[in-house]
Amino acid sequence: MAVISISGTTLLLALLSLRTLQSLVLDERLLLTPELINISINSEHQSLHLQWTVPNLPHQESRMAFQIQISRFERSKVIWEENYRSTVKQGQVLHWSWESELPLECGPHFVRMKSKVVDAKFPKPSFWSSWSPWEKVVAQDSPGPNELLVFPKDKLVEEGSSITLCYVSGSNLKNISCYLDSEQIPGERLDANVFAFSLSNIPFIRKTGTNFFCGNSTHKEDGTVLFVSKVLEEPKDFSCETRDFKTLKCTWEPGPDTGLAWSKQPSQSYTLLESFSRRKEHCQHRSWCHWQISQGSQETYNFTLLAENRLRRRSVNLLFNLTRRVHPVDPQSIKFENVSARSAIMTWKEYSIVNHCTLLCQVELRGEGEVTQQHNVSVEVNGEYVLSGLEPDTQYATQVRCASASHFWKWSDWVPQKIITFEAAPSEAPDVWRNVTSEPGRQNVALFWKPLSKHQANGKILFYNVVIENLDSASRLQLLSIPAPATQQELMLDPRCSYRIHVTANNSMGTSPASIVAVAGDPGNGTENVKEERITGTDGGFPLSWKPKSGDVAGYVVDWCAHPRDTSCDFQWKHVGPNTTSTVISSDSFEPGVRYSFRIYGLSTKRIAYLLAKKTGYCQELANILIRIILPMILCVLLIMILCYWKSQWMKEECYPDIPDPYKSSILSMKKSKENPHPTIMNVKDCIPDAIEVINKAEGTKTQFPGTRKSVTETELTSQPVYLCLIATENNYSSPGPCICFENLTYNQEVSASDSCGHGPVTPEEPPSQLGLLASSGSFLKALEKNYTNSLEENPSGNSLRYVSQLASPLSGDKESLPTNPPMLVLCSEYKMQTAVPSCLASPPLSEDSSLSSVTLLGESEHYS
Amino acid sequence: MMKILAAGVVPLLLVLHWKPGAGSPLPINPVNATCNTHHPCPSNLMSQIRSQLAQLNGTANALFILYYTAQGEPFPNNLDKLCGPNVTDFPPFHANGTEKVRLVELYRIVAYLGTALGNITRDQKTLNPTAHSLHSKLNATADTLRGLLSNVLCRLCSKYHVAHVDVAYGPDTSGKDVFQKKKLGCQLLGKYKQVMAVLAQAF
Repeated sequence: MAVISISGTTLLLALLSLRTLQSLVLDERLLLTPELINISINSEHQSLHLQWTVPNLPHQESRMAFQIQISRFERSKVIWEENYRSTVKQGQVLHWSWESELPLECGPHFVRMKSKVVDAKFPKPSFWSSWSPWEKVVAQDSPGPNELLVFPKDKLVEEGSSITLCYVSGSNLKNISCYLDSEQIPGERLDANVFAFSLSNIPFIRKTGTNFFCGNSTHKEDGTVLFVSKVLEEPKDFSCETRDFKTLKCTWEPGPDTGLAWSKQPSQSYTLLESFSRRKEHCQHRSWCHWQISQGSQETYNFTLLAENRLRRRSVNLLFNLTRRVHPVDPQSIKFENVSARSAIMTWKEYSIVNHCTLLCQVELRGEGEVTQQHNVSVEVNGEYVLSGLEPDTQYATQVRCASASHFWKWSDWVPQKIITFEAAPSEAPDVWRNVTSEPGRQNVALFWKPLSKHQANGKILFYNVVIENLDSASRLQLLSIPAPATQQELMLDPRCSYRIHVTANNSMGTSPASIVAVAGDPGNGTENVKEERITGTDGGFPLSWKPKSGDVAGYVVDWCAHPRDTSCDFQWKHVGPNTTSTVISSDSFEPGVRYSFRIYGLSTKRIAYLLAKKTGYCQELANILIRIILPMILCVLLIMILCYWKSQWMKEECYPDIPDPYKSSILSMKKSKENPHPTIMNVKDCIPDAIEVINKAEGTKTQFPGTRKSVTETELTSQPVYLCLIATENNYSSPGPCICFENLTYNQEVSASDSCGHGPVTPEEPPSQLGLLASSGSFLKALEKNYTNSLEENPSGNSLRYVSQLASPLSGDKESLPTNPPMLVLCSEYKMQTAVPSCLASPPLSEDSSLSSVTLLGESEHYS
Repeated sequence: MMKILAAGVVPLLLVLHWKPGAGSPLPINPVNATCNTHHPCPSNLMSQIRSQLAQLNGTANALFILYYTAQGEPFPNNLDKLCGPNVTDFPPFHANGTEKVRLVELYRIVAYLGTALGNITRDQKTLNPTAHSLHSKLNATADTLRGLLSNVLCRLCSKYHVAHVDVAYGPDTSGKDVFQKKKLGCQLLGKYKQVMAVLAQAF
C-alpha cells in the first residue's frame, strides 16, 4: 500500500513537474518572440534592413540566436533563411540586412523571425520562440493594367559581374520582349506578371550606360540603364623617390578609368597611407602624388596606395629606405673655365641635399655627333672636370648627369652645354706649286696653293704670306700678304735670278710652317729635251709613270689643267714621294673628248723642280663615242628611207601604175562592188586620180565634174565642149608641154555612157574656147581645183566616179612624148573623147612648134571674155 | 496637364518676359494691357520669323538623329516605340487660323519647346558628356528658339497688342530615371521635328 502510495505521489509530482515545465517553456517561447519594429528598403543596394527587439528578456544580457525567413510573392515561397547570433541586452534594438539578387520592386516580400537563448551561462534547456508575424514589404505598388515597369533603375554594376533584372507588367499586357542594347534576352517567369532576366558576365559597352529595354507591339515600353563600370585594377609600378629630401613623389600606373557618366561613379580615387607616421594623403592626380617629408629622422617608409571606386577597393604596399630612393636634381650652372685650343675645365653645381650624399656624375663630350669622351666624376656639391685632347676651333656638345654614388637609384636628366675651343696656329704648311712661263726679259710665276683642311688650319685662315727670296741677292726679300680665300698669286721675276718662295698660312693665333718653292734662273733648262708622250686614259684616270730622276730627289710633282679649254685652266698638281715613279691622276672633272696634258717634275732637295716628262692624252676618245651614237642613227634613217621607198612603190602600183591592171586596181574593184547588192564604200584617199575633166556641154546643160555633182552654170561657159586639166599628178610634168586628158572607155564604157556629165566630142578647130575658159579666169580655175579636191573628200563613192587616165595612149606608152608632139592630138581622135591642153595654167612658155594651139587658144579666150 | 517650370529654361524665359510681377502664368491679351518689349521690334518681323522657322525645320532632323544615336541601342532601331512623337500636353496648332491665332499658338509651342530643350540639354550634358556635336546642336537650336520667341512676341505685341500669352512648359524630367530621360527627350525631339515641318509650312 505504501509502495502504491509512494508511486502515486511520485507520479503526481512528475506530472506536476512536467506541467510546470511545459508551462515554463510555453511562457518562454511567448516571451522571447522577437518583435520587428522596422523594415526599411534600400532600392539602390536592393537590400532590406531589419530592426527588432526581444521583449521581456529574462536576463540582463544573453547570447541569442535568431532565425530569419524571407518569402517573395507569397508567404509560403521562402527564398531565404538565415541564422543570426548576437549578444542581446535588455531593450536593445537589433539590426540585420539582407541583399536581394532580384530587385525588391519586382514583387512583395515577407519577413518573419524567431529566437532562442544560446548562452552557456544559462545551462537550462532553451527553446525556439514562436515566429513573429509575417511582415509584408512592398517596394513598388502593382502597376496599372496597361503599365509596364522595368527594374532595377540606373543600376551600377561591374564589368563581368552578374545582375538580375525584371519587368512587372499590367494584366492587359502580353508578349513583352526585352533587349540588352540590341540583343533580345530570354526571361524567366517568376509570377503571373513578373519576368526575371539574369545577365552574367555583363560587358562594358560605354561610359554612358547600357540600355535594357522591354516592350510589346502596343507601344507599351519601359527600360533602364545599366551603368557598367570597368573593373578597378590594382595600381602598377608603384614607386616613390625624392630629389631634395623634402618631398617624396610617388608614381604608379593607374589602369583604366572606371568613371561613368551621369555621376554614377566618378573616376577612382587614390589615397596614400604611411603606416609609421599614420599619415594619409588624398591624391589629386590619377598617377602621382606628393608626400611631404617630415623634418624628423624618418628614413624608412611603409606606404599603402589605396585605389577605390564605388564598387571596389585595391591597394599596394611599398616599403623603402629614403636614402635608396634619391633621384638627384639635374646639374645646374654648367660653365667652362680656362678654355684653350686643346682643353677646358667644366664646372657645375649640384642641388644641396642633406647628409651630403656623394654623387656619381657622368660627363660626356660629343664632337660632330659622336661621343668622343665619357668620364665618371665623384661630386659632393660642386662638380669639376678637365676636358683635354680637344681640337682647336671646334664646337663640342657636352652633357652631364648625376646619380647617388652610395645607393644608385636613377640618373638625373642629361644637362647639355656647348663649348667652342680657341684657335691655334695652323699646324701644316700649305701645299704649294707653281707654273713658270718665260717671256723675253721676265719670268712669270703663277703660284698656287691649296686651302688647309679644318684639321690643319686650326681656325679661320685670314691671309697667306708669300715671301720671295732672291737667292742671288741675299738682301732682297719681298713679302706679299694675300687675303684668304685666295689660292694663287702671279709673280714676275727676273729670269736671271733664282728664287726661293716661302708660303705660309695665317690665322688669328699664328703662322703655319712655310712651304718652299724654288724657281731656277733658267726654267727652260732641259725642257726642250723632253718629248711629249701619248697616253690613254681609263675609267679610273690617267696612269702615269716616269723614269726616276738621278741624284737626290725630294719628291715628284705632276701638274695639269683640269679644264684645259677654259682660260682659267684650273691648275692642278699632285705631290708624290721620292720613291714613287708612277701614279694615277684621277678627277671627276675629266671629260671625254678633252685632251689633257701632264707634266712630271722631279724636286731636288733644294726644292728646285726639273721637268722629267710630258704626257698627253684623252680620258676617252670622242671619235669612238661619236661612232657609237651616230652609227645607229644612220642605220635607223636608212631603214626608214627603205620603208618609205617600198611604201611609195606599193602605192604607185596600187593606185596609179604605169599600165593599170583592171583586176589589180583598187579603184576598178568598184565595178565588182556594183554587182554586189550591198553598197560598198571605197576609200580613195590614198588614190589620187591622174586628172579631172570638166566638160562644157551644149547650151542648156551644166558642166559637171566627175565624182562631184557640183556644176558651173551655163552662162559662164560657151556652148563648146571644154576639157580642163586641173592637176598634174606626175612631178615630171613640170617640163613644158601639155598634158592629155581623155576618157578611156576601154575600161569603163558603162559608166561613161550612163554618166550625165558625159564628154562631148572635141574637134581640133574648136580648142580656143577651152583655153579661153582657162585663161580668162584664174579664180575660176582655182574654184574648180577646189571643187575637185572637195569632190574627192566629200564623195568617195565609186558609183559616181569615172576612171580617167591620161597615160593609156594607144600610140605610145611613153607619156612624156605626148606634150612634145601636138599633132598626135589628131591621132588621138580615135578615142571618143580626147584632147590636149597645157599641162598647167601657169605653164612655162611653150616651144615654137607646140605653142600654136596654145596661143590660138589664148586669143580665143580673150575674145570670149 | 503638367505645367512645371523647368529649371534650365526658366531664367531664359524670365529674361524675355521680365517685368515687375513676372513669373506667374501669362493670360492672353488682357484688355488694355500695356505691350512693352525690351528691344525695338525689327520691321521685317514676319520675314525673320519665317526664316527662323525654316532654319529650325532644316536642322530638326539632324538634331533628332544625333540625339537618338547618342542614346545608344535600342533607340536607333526602335524609333517608333521609343521616339514616337507621343508628347502629352503639347500645345495645339491650327494652320487654318488667323495670323493672330497662329502666332499665339506658335508662341506657346516655342515656349514649350524651349523649356523642353533646356531640360534635354541639361540631361545630355550629364549623361553624354563627350557628345559635343549633340550639345552644340542643342545649344544652337535653343538660341534660335529664343530668338524666335522674342520675334513672335514682338509681332504679337506690335500688330495685335497681345502682351501676355498663357504658356505651358515641357515635362520636368529631373525626377525621372535615366532611361525615361532618354526616352522623353527622344519623343520630344521627334515631336519637335514633326511640328517644325508644320510650322514652317504654315507661315
